[in-house]
Amino acid sequence: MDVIRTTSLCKTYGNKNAVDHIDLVVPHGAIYGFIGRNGSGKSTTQKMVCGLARPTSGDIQLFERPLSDTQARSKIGTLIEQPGIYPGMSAIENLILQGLSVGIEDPKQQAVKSLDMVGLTKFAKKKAKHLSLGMKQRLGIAIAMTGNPGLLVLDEPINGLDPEGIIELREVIARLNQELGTTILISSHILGELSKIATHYGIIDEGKLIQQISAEELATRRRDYLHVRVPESEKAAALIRQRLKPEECQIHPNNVLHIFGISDTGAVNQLLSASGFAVQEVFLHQQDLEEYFLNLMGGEKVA
Amino acid sequence: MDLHRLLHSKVFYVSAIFLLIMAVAMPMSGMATNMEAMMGATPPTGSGEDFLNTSVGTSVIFILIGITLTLFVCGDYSGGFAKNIFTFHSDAKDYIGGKMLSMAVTSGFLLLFYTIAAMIALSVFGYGIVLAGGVFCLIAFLIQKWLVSCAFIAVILLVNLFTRSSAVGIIAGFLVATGGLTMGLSLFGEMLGIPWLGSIGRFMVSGASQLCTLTFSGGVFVQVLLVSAAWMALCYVGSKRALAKKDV
Repeated sequence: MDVIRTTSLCKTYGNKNAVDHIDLVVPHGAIYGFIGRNGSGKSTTQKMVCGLARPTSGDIQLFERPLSDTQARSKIGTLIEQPGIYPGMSAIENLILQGLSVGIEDPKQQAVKSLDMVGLTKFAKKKAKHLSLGMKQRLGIAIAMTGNPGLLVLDEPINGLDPEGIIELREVIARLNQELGTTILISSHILGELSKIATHYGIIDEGKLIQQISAEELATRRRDYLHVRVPESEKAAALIRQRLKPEECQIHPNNVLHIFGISDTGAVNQLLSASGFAVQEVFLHQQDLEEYFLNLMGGEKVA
Repeated sequence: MDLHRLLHSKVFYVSAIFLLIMAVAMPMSGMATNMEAMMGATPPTGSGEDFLNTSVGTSVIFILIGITLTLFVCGDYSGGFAKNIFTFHSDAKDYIGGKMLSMAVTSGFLLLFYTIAAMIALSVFGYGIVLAGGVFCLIAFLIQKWLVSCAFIAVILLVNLFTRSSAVGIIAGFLVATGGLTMGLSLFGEMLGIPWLGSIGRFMVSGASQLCTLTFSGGVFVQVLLVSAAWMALCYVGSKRALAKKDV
Protein backbone atom coordinates (compact mmCIF):
# COMPACT_ATOMS: atom_id res chain seq x y z
CA MET A 1 0.00 0.00 0.00
CA ASP A 2 1.23 3.49 -0.80
CA VAL A 3 0.76 5.89 2.08
CA ILE A 4 1.22 8.92 -0.16
CA ARG A 5 0.57 8.99 -3.87
CA THR A 6 0.38 12.28 -5.74
CA THR A 7 -0.59 12.51 -9.37
CA SER A 8 0.61 15.45 -11.45
CA LEU A 9 0.56 17.67 -8.38
CA CYS A 10 1.03 21.38 -9.10
CA LYS A 11 1.13 24.55 -7.06
CA THR A 12 1.48 27.91 -8.71
CA TYR A 13 2.16 31.24 -7.01
CA GLY A 14 1.54 33.97 -9.58
CA ASN A 15 3.60 32.92 -12.59
CA LYS A 16 5.93 30.66 -10.63
CA ASN A 17 5.42 26.92 -10.55
CA ALA A 18 6.49 26.11 -7.01
CA VAL A 19 5.53 22.47 -7.57
CA ASP A 20 5.39 21.22 -11.11
CA HIS A 21 3.55 17.99 -11.94
CA ILE A 22 4.96 15.87 -9.15
CA ASP A 23 4.16 12.15 -8.96
CA LEU A 24 5.35 11.26 -5.49
CA VAL A 25 5.00 7.71 -4.20
CA VAL A 26 5.76 6.92 -0.57
CA PRO A 27 5.29 3.23 0.23
CA HIS A 28 3.96 2.01 3.56
CA GLY A 29 6.68 1.69 6.18
CA ALA A 30 9.19 3.84 4.29
CA ILE A 31 11.39 6.59 5.60
CA TYR A 32 11.27 8.80 2.56
CA GLY A 33 14.05 11.38 2.35
CA PHE A 34 12.88 14.41 0.40
CA ILE A 35 15.89 16.28 -0.92
CA GLY A 36 16.24 19.54 -2.74
CA ARG A 37 17.74 23.01 -2.66
CA ASN A 38 16.15 25.88 -0.78
CA GLY A 39 13.03 26.98 -2.64
CA SER A 40 12.88 23.79 -4.71
CA GLY A 41 9.31 23.04 -3.56
CA LYS A 42 9.84 20.58 -0.70
CA SER A 43 7.87 22.46 1.95
CA THR A 44 5.08 23.36 -0.46
CA THR A 45 4.72 19.71 -1.46
CA GLN A 46 4.69 18.65 2.19
CA LYS A 47 2.12 21.32 3.02
CA MET A 48 -0.14 20.09 0.22
CA VAL A 49 0.22 16.51 1.42
CA CYS A 50 -0.94 17.65 4.88
CA GLY A 51 -3.85 19.64 3.47
CA LEU A 52 -2.33 22.95 4.56
CA ALA A 53 -2.01 24.33 1.03
CA ARG A 54 -4.44 23.86 -1.82
CA PRO A 55 -2.97 22.28 -4.96
CA THR A 56 -3.46 24.33 -8.12
CA SER A 57 -4.05 21.04 -9.91
CA GLY A 58 -3.37 17.34 -9.50
CA ASP A 59 -4.45 14.75 -7.00
CA ILE A 60 -3.27 13.52 -3.61
CA GLN A 61 -4.14 10.14 -2.11
CA LEU A 62 -3.30 9.31 1.50
CA PHE A 63 -3.61 5.71 2.62
CA GLU A 64 -5.34 5.12 -0.75
CA ARG A 65 -8.06 7.63 0.14
CA PRO A 66 -8.62 11.19 -1.06
CA LEU A 67 -6.85 13.95 0.86
CA SER A 68 -10.17 15.30 2.10
CA ASP A 69 -11.00 12.00 3.80
CA THR A 70 -11.20 12.64 7.55
CA GLN A 71 -10.01 9.13 8.42
CA ALA A 72 -6.90 9.46 6.28
CA ARG A 73 -6.13 12.91 7.63
CA SER A 74 -6.48 11.78 11.21
CA LYS A 75 -3.44 9.54 10.66
CA ILE A 76 -0.97 12.37 9.95
CA GLY A 77 1.41 14.11 12.28
CA THR A 78 3.32 17.10 11.01
CA LEU A 79 6.16 19.46 11.66
CA ILE A 80 6.47 21.88 8.77
CA GLU A 81 8.73 24.94 8.62
CA GLN A 82 8.73 25.68 12.36
CA PRO A 83 7.23 23.87 15.34
CA GLY A 84 3.50 24.55 15.68
CA ILE A 85 3.24 25.67 19.27
CA TYR A 86 1.47 28.20 21.49
CA PRO A 87 4.43 30.23 22.76
CA GLY A 88 2.58 31.48 25.84
CA MET A 89 1.74 27.99 27.07
CA SER A 90 4.01 25.47 28.73
CA ALA A 91 5.52 22.51 26.90
CA ILE A 92 3.15 20.06 28.58
CA GLU A 93 0.10 22.27 27.94
CA ASN A 94 0.97 22.35 24.24
CA LEU A 95 1.06 18.57 24.18
CA ILE A 96 -2.18 18.26 26.13
CA LEU A 97 -3.88 20.62 23.66
CA GLN A 98 -2.67 18.55 20.75
CA GLY A 99 -3.89 15.42 22.54
CA LEU A 100 -7.31 16.99 23.01
CA SER A 101 -7.32 18.14 19.39
CA VAL A 102 -6.66 14.65 18.05
CA GLY A 103 -8.95 13.06 20.63
CA ILE A 104 -6.64 10.70 22.46
CA GLU A 105 -7.53 9.17 25.81
CA ASP A 106 -5.79 10.68 28.81
CA PRO A 107 -3.87 13.41 26.97
CA LYS A 108 -1.98 14.39 30.13
CA GLN A 109 -0.45 10.96 30.57
CA GLN A 110 0.43 10.83 26.88
CA ALA A 111 1.99 14.30 27.12
CA VAL A 112 4.23 13.16 29.96
CA LYS A 113 5.35 10.14 27.90
CA SER A 114 6.00 12.30 24.83
CA LEU A 115 8.08 14.78 26.82
CA ASP A 116 10.14 11.92 28.16
CA MET A 117 10.64 10.54 24.66
CA VAL A 118 12.08 13.82 23.37
CA GLY A 119 14.05 14.57 26.54
CA LEU A 120 12.01 17.54 27.71
CA THR A 121 10.69 16.19 31.01
CA LYS A 122 12.70 18.74 33.01
CA PHE A 123 11.19 21.56 30.98
CA ALA A 124 7.58 20.40 31.04
CA LYS A 125 6.29 23.48 32.83
CA LYS A 126 8.49 25.99 31.05
CA LYS A 127 6.67 28.26 28.62
CA ALA A 128 7.33 27.27 25.03
CA LYS A 129 8.57 30.77 24.18
CA HIS A 130 11.34 30.39 26.76
CA LEU A 131 12.64 27.11 25.33
CA SER A 132 15.76 27.11 23.16
CA LEU A 133 15.45 26.61 19.39
CA GLY A 134 16.44 22.95 19.70
CA MET A 135 13.98 22.36 22.54
CA LYS A 136 11.18 23.97 20.55
CA GLN A 137 12.07 21.65 17.70
CA ARG A 138 11.87 18.65 20.02
CA LEU A 139 8.53 19.87 21.34
CA GLY A 140 7.29 20.24 17.76
CA ILE A 141 8.34 16.66 17.06
CA ALA A 142 6.57 15.42 20.20
CA ILE A 143 3.41 17.27 19.10
CA ALA A 144 3.66 15.73 15.64
CA MET A 145 3.92 12.26 17.17
CA THR A 146 0.94 12.70 19.49
CA GLY A 147 -1.63 10.00 18.84
CA ASN A 148 0.89 7.72 17.11
CA PRO A 149 0.11 8.83 13.56
CA GLY A 150 0.57 6.38 10.70
CA LEU A 151 2.34 9.06 8.66
CA LEU A 152 4.78 11.66 9.94
CA VAL A 153 5.59 14.61 7.70
CA LEU A 154 8.74 16.32 8.95
CA ASP A 155 10.24 19.37 7.30
CA GLU A 156 13.82 20.00 8.37
CA PRO A 157 13.29 18.50 11.84
CA ILE A 158 17.04 18.44 12.53
CA ASN A 159 17.35 22.24 12.28
CA GLY A 160 18.47 23.74 15.54
CA LEU A 161 19.26 20.45 17.24
CA ASP A 162 22.62 19.88 18.90
CA PRO A 163 24.66 16.77 17.88
CA GLU A 164 23.19 14.79 20.77
CA GLY A 165 19.68 15.88 19.78
CA ILE A 166 20.31 14.85 16.17
CA ILE A 167 21.34 11.36 17.25
CA GLU A 168 18.33 11.09 19.59
CA LEU A 169 15.95 12.23 16.88
CA ARG A 170 17.44 9.76 14.42
CA GLU A 171 16.89 7.00 16.96
CA VAL A 172 13.32 8.13 17.67
CA ILE A 173 12.50 8.19 13.96
CA ALA A 174 14.05 4.76 13.42
CA ARG A 175 12.18 3.37 16.44
CA LEU A 176 8.84 4.79 15.29
CA ASN A 177 9.41 3.33 11.86
CA GLN A 178 10.57 -0.10 13.00
CA GLU A 179 8.40 -0.66 16.06
CA LEU A 180 5.18 1.10 15.10
CA GLY A 181 5.48 0.91 11.34
CA THR A 182 5.12 4.68 11.00
CA THR A 183 5.76 5.93 7.49
CA ILE A 184 7.90 9.06 7.49
CA LEU A 185 8.30 11.75 4.85
CA ILE A 186 11.30 13.79 5.94
CA SER A 187 13.14 16.62 4.28
CA SER A 188 16.57 17.67 5.41
CA HIS A 189 19.65 19.43 4.12
CA ILE A 190 21.86 17.29 6.34
CA LEU A 191 22.14 14.49 3.82
CA GLY A 192 24.64 12.49 5.85
CA GLU A 193 22.06 12.10 8.61
CA LEU A 194 19.29 11.36 6.16
CA SER A 195 21.29 8.61 4.50
CA LYS A 196 21.59 6.81 7.85
CA ILE A 197 17.83 6.24 8.12
CA ALA A 198 16.14 6.75 4.76
CA THR A 199 14.81 3.78 2.83
CA HIS A 200 13.68 5.83 -0.15
CA TYR A 201 14.64 9.15 -1.68
CA GLY A 202 12.91 11.78 -3.77
CA ILE A 203 15.03 14.51 -5.31
CA ILE A 204 13.26 17.71 -6.28
CA ASP A 205 14.63 20.62 -8.25
CA GLU A 206 12.76 23.77 -9.29
CA GLY A 207 9.46 22.16 -8.44
CA LYS A 208 10.10 19.00 -10.47
CA LEU A 209 10.71 15.57 -8.99
CA ILE A 210 13.82 14.60 -10.91
CA GLN A 211 14.47 11.25 -9.28
CA GLN A 212 12.72 8.86 -6.94
CA ILE A 213 14.70 5.82 -5.84
CA SER A 214 15.03 3.35 -3.02
CA ALA A 215 18.15 3.19 -0.85
CA GLU A 216 19.05 -0.16 -2.50
CA GLU A 217 18.83 1.36 -5.98
CA LEU A 218 20.90 4.29 -4.83
CA ALA A 219 23.59 1.90 -3.58
CA THR A 220 23.79 0.29 -7.02
CA ARG A 221 23.81 3.63 -8.83
CA ARG A 222 26.49 5.18 -6.68
CA ARG A 223 29.69 5.71 -8.62
CA ASP A 224 32.46 4.57 -6.30
CA TYR A 225 36.00 5.14 -7.59
CA LEU A 226 39.63 4.58 -6.77
CA HIS A 227 41.40 7.72 -5.69
CA VAL A 228 45.08 7.67 -6.73
CA ARG A 229 47.66 10.38 -6.15
CA VAL A 230 50.71 9.83 -8.31
CA PRO A 231 53.30 12.15 -9.98
CA GLU A 232 53.12 12.28 -13.77
CA SER A 233 49.43 11.51 -13.48
CA GLU A 234 48.75 11.80 -17.23
CA LYS A 235 51.25 9.06 -18.05
CA ALA A 236 49.93 6.94 -15.17
CA ALA A 237 46.36 7.42 -16.46
CA ALA A 238 47.37 6.29 -19.94
CA LEU A 239 49.00 3.17 -18.49
CA ILE A 240 45.92 2.33 -16.39
CA ARG A 241 43.58 2.84 -19.35
CA GLN A 242 45.75 0.55 -21.51
CA ARG A 243 46.33 -2.24 -18.99
CA LEU A 244 43.32 -2.28 -16.64
CA LYS A 245 40.59 -1.04 -19.02
CA PRO A 246 38.56 0.93 -16.41
CA GLU A 247 35.11 2.39 -17.18
CA GLU A 248 36.61 5.83 -16.87
CA CYS A 249 39.81 7.42 -15.66
CA GLN A 250 39.61 11.11 -14.79
CA ILE A 251 42.64 13.32 -14.33
CA HIS A 252 42.22 15.94 -11.59
CA PRO A 253 44.55 18.71 -10.37
CA ASN A 254 47.30 17.96 -7.84
CA ASN A 255 48.25 14.67 -9.54
CA VAL A 256 44.98 13.00 -8.60
CA LEU A 257 43.28 10.28 -10.66
CA HIS A 258 39.72 9.02 -10.21
CA ILE A 259 39.38 5.52 -11.64
CA PHE A 260 35.83 4.21 -12.10
CA GLY A 261 34.92 0.56 -12.53
CA ILE A 262 37.85 -0.85 -10.59
CA SER A 263 37.89 -1.44 -6.84
CA ASP A 264 41.12 -3.42 -6.43
CA THR A 265 43.60 -0.98 -4.88
CA GLY A 266 46.36 -3.66 -4.84
CA ALA A 267 46.22 -4.22 -8.60
CA VAL A 268 46.52 -0.50 -9.35
CA ASN A 269 49.31 -0.02 -6.83
CA GLN A 270 51.25 -3.01 -8.16
CA LEU A 271 50.89 -1.90 -11.79
CA LEU A 272 52.04 1.65 -11.13
CA SER A 273 54.89 0.66 -8.81
CA ALA A 274 56.17 -1.98 -11.27
CA SER A 275 56.17 0.70 -14.00
CA GLY A 276 58.27 3.05 -11.89
CA PHE A 277 55.57 5.39 -10.59
CA ALA A 278 55.89 6.50 -6.94
CA VAL A 279 52.31 6.10 -5.72
CA GLN A 280 51.53 8.56 -2.89
CA GLU A 281 47.89 7.64 -2.18
CA VAL A 282 45.48 4.97 -3.27
CA PHE A 283 42.11 4.21 -1.70
CA LEU A 284 38.54 3.31 -2.60
CA HIS A 285 36.21 6.31 -2.39
CA GLN A 286 32.57 5.45 -1.80
CA GLN A 287 30.20 8.08 -3.11
CA ASP A 288 27.79 9.28 -0.44
CA LEU A 289 24.29 10.74 -0.76
CA GLU A 290 25.62 14.28 -0.72
CA GLU A 291 27.93 13.67 -3.67
CA TYR A 292 25.24 11.76 -5.51
CA PHE A 293 22.86 14.68 -5.01
CA LEU A 294 25.47 17.23 -6.08
CA ASN A 295 26.30 15.23 -9.19
CA LEU A 296 22.63 15.04 -10.06
CA MET A 297 22.24 18.77 -9.53
CA GLY A 298 25.18 19.50 -11.78
CA GLY A 299 27.93 19.67 -9.18
CA GLU A 300 26.91 22.91 -7.46
CA LYS A 301 27.44 22.87 -3.69
CA VAL A 302 24.07 24.15 -2.62
CA ALA A 303 22.34 21.24 -0.95
CA MET B 1 -9.54 21.80 23.14
CA ASP B 2 -10.64 25.42 22.68
CA LEU B 3 -12.34 25.51 26.08
CA HIS B 4 -9.30 23.94 27.71
CA ARG B 5 -7.08 26.55 26.11
CA LEU B 6 -9.47 29.31 27.17
CA LEU B 7 -9.52 28.18 30.79
CA HIS B 8 -5.72 28.10 30.80
CA SER B 9 -5.33 31.58 29.35
CA LYS B 10 -4.98 34.89 31.18
CA VAL B 11 -7.35 36.75 28.89
CA PHE B 12 -10.38 34.87 30.22
CA TYR B 13 -9.62 35.71 33.87
CA VAL B 14 -8.62 39.29 33.03
CA SER B 15 -12.01 39.69 31.28
CA ALA B 16 -13.88 38.37 34.34
CA ILE B 17 -11.95 40.66 36.68
CA PHE B 18 -12.54 43.63 34.39
CA LEU B 19 -16.29 42.95 34.41
CA LEU B 20 -16.28 42.63 38.19
CA ILE B 21 -14.51 45.97 38.56
CA MET B 22 -16.99 47.57 36.16
CA ALA B 23 -19.95 46.09 38.03
CA VAL B 24 -18.64 47.56 41.27
CA ALA B 25 -17.38 50.88 39.90
CA MET B 26 -20.58 51.88 38.08
CA PRO B 27 -22.93 52.01 41.09
CA MET B 28 -20.11 53.19 43.36
CA SER B 29 -19.49 56.24 41.15
CA GLY B 30 -23.21 56.83 40.63
CA MET B 31 -22.81 56.28 36.90
CA ALA B 32 -25.46 53.55 36.95
CA THR B 33 -27.98 53.13 39.74
CA ASN B 34 -30.49 50.66 38.27
CA MET B 35 -30.46 47.40 36.34
CA GLU B 36 -31.27 49.01 32.96
CA ALA B 37 -28.24 51.26 33.18
CA MET B 38 -26.04 48.53 34.60
CA MET B 39 -26.92 46.15 31.77
CA GLY B 40 -26.77 48.82 29.06
CA ALA B 41 -30.41 47.99 28.30
CA THR B 42 -31.77 51.49 27.86
CA PRO B 43 -34.15 51.58 24.87
CA PRO B 44 -32.62 53.28 21.82
CA THR B 45 -33.53 56.91 21.26
CA GLY B 46 -32.89 57.03 17.51
CA SER B 47 -30.11 58.94 15.85
CA GLY B 48 -29.25 60.79 19.05
CA GLU B 49 -28.19 57.55 20.68
CA ASP B 50 -25.67 58.20 23.39
CA PHE B 51 -22.50 56.44 22.29
CA LEU B 52 -21.41 55.95 25.89
CA ASN B 53 -24.68 54.24 26.69
CA THR B 54 -24.00 51.61 24.06
CA SER B 55 -20.43 51.16 25.24
CA VAL B 56 -21.19 50.04 28.78
CA GLY B 57 -22.95 47.07 30.33
CA THR B 58 -23.26 44.02 28.16
CA SER B 59 -21.56 45.74 25.21
CA VAL B 60 -18.32 45.57 27.18
CA ILE B 61 -18.75 41.81 27.29
CA PHE B 62 -18.97 41.84 23.49
CA ILE B 63 -15.79 43.90 23.28
CA LEU B 64 -14.00 41.47 25.61
CA ILE B 65 -15.26 38.49 23.62
CA GLY B 66 -14.07 40.14 20.41
CA ILE B 67 -10.60 40.61 21.89
CA THR B 68 -10.46 37.06 23.28
CA LEU B 69 -11.61 35.46 20.04
CA THR B 70 -9.20 37.54 17.97
CA LEU B 71 -6.26 36.65 20.20
CA PHE B 72 -7.26 32.99 20.02
CA VAL B 73 -7.66 32.74 16.26
CA CYS B 74 -4.63 34.87 15.42
CA GLY B 75 -2.64 32.94 18.05
CA ASP B 76 -3.40 29.72 16.19
CA TYR B 77 -1.78 31.13 13.08
CA SER B 78 1.07 33.19 14.54
CA GLY B 79 2.36 30.33 16.70
CA GLY B 80 1.88 27.77 13.94
CA PHE B 81 -0.45 25.53 15.95
CA ALA B 82 -3.01 25.96 13.17
CA LYS B 83 -0.84 23.58 11.12
CA ASN B 84 -1.37 20.85 13.70
CA ILE B 85 -5.10 21.56 13.82
CA PHE B 86 -5.73 21.69 10.09
CA THR B 87 -3.55 18.68 9.30
CA PHE B 88 -5.76 16.55 11.53
CA HIS B 89 -9.13 18.22 10.97
CA SER B 90 -9.86 18.26 7.26
CA ASP B 91 -13.38 19.57 7.75
CA ALA B 92 -13.48 23.35 8.30
CA LYS B 93 -16.62 23.03 10.35
CA ASP B 94 -14.60 21.35 13.14
CA TYR B 95 -12.52 24.50 13.54
CA ILE B 96 -15.33 27.02 13.07
CA GLY B 97 -17.68 25.01 15.26
CA GLY B 98 -15.05 24.60 17.98
CA LYS B 99 -14.31 28.30 18.11
CA MET B 100 -17.97 29.36 17.97
CA LEU B 101 -19.05 26.86 20.60
CA SER B 102 -16.28 27.68 23.06
CA MET B 103 -16.86 31.41 22.66
CA ALA B 104 -20.63 30.97 22.99
CA VAL B 105 -20.06 29.18 26.30
CA THR B 106 -17.68 31.96 27.38
CA SER B 107 -20.16 34.61 26.38
CA GLY B 108 -22.94 32.89 28.34
CA PHE B 109 -20.72 32.62 31.37
CA LEU B 110 -19.60 36.26 31.23
CA LEU B 111 -23.19 37.49 30.76
CA LEU B 112 -24.35 35.55 33.81
CA PHE B 113 -21.30 36.51 35.82
CA TYR B 114 -21.73 40.22 35.07
CA THR B 115 -25.48 40.13 35.76
CA ILE B 116 -24.99 38.51 39.16
CA ALA B 117 -22.12 40.88 39.97
CA ALA B 118 -24.26 43.89 38.94
CA MET B 119 -27.16 42.74 41.13
CA ILE B 120 -24.91 42.20 44.13
CA ALA B 121 -23.18 45.56 43.59
CA LEU B 122 -26.53 47.44 43.35
CA SER B 123 -27.67 45.79 46.58
CA VAL B 124 -24.40 46.48 48.40
CA PHE B 125 -24.43 50.17 47.43
CA GLY B 126 -28.04 50.47 48.57
CA TYR B 127 -29.79 51.04 45.24
CA GLY B 128 -31.79 47.81 45.36
CA ILE B 129 -32.65 45.57 42.43
CA VAL B 130 -35.71 46.75 40.54
CA LEU B 131 -36.58 44.61 37.53
CA ALA B 132 -39.16 46.37 35.37
CA GLY B 133 -40.38 43.17 33.77
CA GLY B 134 -39.51 40.75 36.54
CA VAL B 135 -37.09 37.84 36.54
CA PHE B 136 -38.62 36.33 33.38
CA CYS B 137 -37.80 39.46 31.38
CA LEU B 138 -34.26 39.50 32.74
CA ILE B 139 -33.80 35.87 31.63
CA ALA B 140 -35.31 36.68 28.21
CA PHE B 141 -32.99 39.70 27.97
CA LEU B 142 -29.96 37.53 28.73
CA ILE B 143 -31.05 34.92 26.18
CA GLN B 144 -31.46 37.62 23.53
CA LYS B 145 -28.08 39.14 24.37
CA TRP B 146 -26.50 35.68 24.23
CA LEU B 147 -28.04 35.06 20.80
CA VAL B 148 -26.67 38.37 19.57
CA SER B 149 -23.29 37.51 21.09
CA CYS B 150 -23.26 34.29 19.06
CA ALA B 151 -23.85 36.32 15.90
CA PHE B 152 -21.15 38.76 17.01
CA ILE B 153 -18.73 35.84 17.51
CA ALA B 154 -19.50 34.59 14.00
CA VAL B 155 -18.82 38.03 12.51
CA ILE B 156 -15.51 38.48 14.33
CA LEU B 157 -14.45 34.93 13.49
CA LEU B 158 -15.07 35.69 9.82
CA VAL B 159 -13.00 38.89 10.03
CA ASN B 160 -10.22 37.00 11.80
CA LEU B 161 -10.15 34.15 9.31
CA PHE B 162 -10.01 36.55 6.38
CA THR B 163 -7.42 38.95 7.77
CA ARG B 164 -5.53 36.88 10.39
CA SER B 165 -4.64 40.25 11.91
CA SER B 166 -5.07 40.92 15.64
CA ALA B 167 -5.33 44.68 15.11
CA VAL B 168 -8.07 44.40 12.48
CA GLY B 169 -9.97 41.83 14.55
CA ILE B 170 -9.93 43.92 17.72
CA ILE B 171 -10.91 47.12 15.92
CA ALA B 172 -13.73 45.29 14.10
CA GLY B 173 -14.88 43.83 17.41
CA PHE B 174 -14.97 47.26 19.03
CA LEU B 175 -16.84 48.85 16.13
CA VAL B 176 -19.46 46.09 15.95
CA ALA B 177 -19.88 45.78 19.74
CA THR B 178 -20.38 49.48 20.38
CA GLY B 179 -22.52 50.06 17.33
CA GLY B 180 -19.88 52.42 15.97
CA LEU B 181 -20.18 50.78 12.58
CA THR B 182 -23.96 51.25 12.30
CA MET B 183 -23.74 54.77 13.70
CA GLY B 184 -21.12 55.60 11.11
CA LEU B 185 -23.35 54.11 8.43
CA SER B 186 -26.30 56.17 9.66
CA LEU B 187 -24.28 59.40 9.69
CA PHE B 188 -22.89 58.59 6.25
CA GLY B 189 -26.46 58.04 4.99
CA GLU B 190 -27.63 61.38 6.43
CA MET B 191 -24.67 63.21 4.88
CA LEU B 192 -25.33 61.72 1.45
CA GLY B 193 -29.10 62.17 1.72
CA ILE B 194 -29.77 58.42 1.91
CA PRO B 195 -31.82 58.22 5.13
CA TRP B 196 -32.78 54.56 4.67
CA LEU B 197 -29.14 53.62 5.12
CA GLY B 198 -29.56 54.31 8.85
CA SER B 199 -32.58 52.06 9.11
CA ILE B 200 -30.65 48.95 8.04
CA GLY B 201 -28.84 49.20 11.36
CA ARG B 202 -31.69 47.22 12.92
CA PHE B 203 -30.58 44.25 10.88
CA MET B 204 -26.98 44.56 11.98
CA VAL B 205 -25.57 42.73 15.00
CA SER B 206 -25.21 45.93 17.06
CA GLY B 207 -28.68 47.05 15.98
CA ALA B 208 -30.20 43.79 17.19
CA SER B 209 -28.26 44.13 20.43
CA GLN B 210 -29.73 47.57 21.09
CA LEU B 211 -33.25 46.24 20.62
CA CYS B 212 -32.92 44.06 23.73
CA THR B 213 -34.48 45.63 26.83
CA LEU B 214 -35.50 44.44 30.27
CA THR B 215 -39.17 44.51 29.25
CA PHE B 216 -39.92 41.51 27.09
CA SER B 217 -41.42 41.87 23.63
CA GLY B 218 -42.21 38.83 21.51
CA GLY B 219 -41.67 40.78 18.28
CA VAL B 220 -38.24 41.97 19.39
CA PHE B 221 -37.32 38.45 20.50
CA VAL B 222 -38.19 37.03 17.08
CA GLN B 223 -36.34 39.82 15.31
CA VAL B 224 -33.25 39.31 17.47
CA LEU B 225 -33.45 35.56 16.88
CA LEU B 226 -33.79 35.92 13.10
CA VAL B 227 -31.11 38.59 12.74
CA SER B 228 -28.69 36.55 14.88
CA ALA B 229 -29.42 33.32 13.02
CA ALA B 230 -29.01 35.04 9.65
CA TRP B 231 -25.65 36.56 10.59
CA MET B 232 -24.44 33.27 12.05
CA ALA B 233 -25.38 31.36 8.89
CA LEU B 234 -23.86 34.02 6.62
CA CYS B 235 -20.63 34.22 8.58
CA TYR B 236 -20.37 30.43 8.89
CA VAL B 237 -20.48 30.12 5.10
CA GLY B 238 -18.01 33.00 4.75
CA SER B 239 -15.65 31.46 7.30
CA LYS B 240 -15.72 28.12 5.50
CA ARG B 241 -14.84 29.89 2.27
CA ALA B 242 -12.01 31.79 3.97
CA LEU B 243 -10.54 28.56 5.30
CA ALA B 244 -10.89 26.82 1.95
CA LYS B 245 -9.34 29.70 -0.01
CA LYS B 246 -6.36 30.59 2.14
CA ASP B 247 -3.37 28.33 2.72
CA VAL B 248 -2.31 27.77 6.32
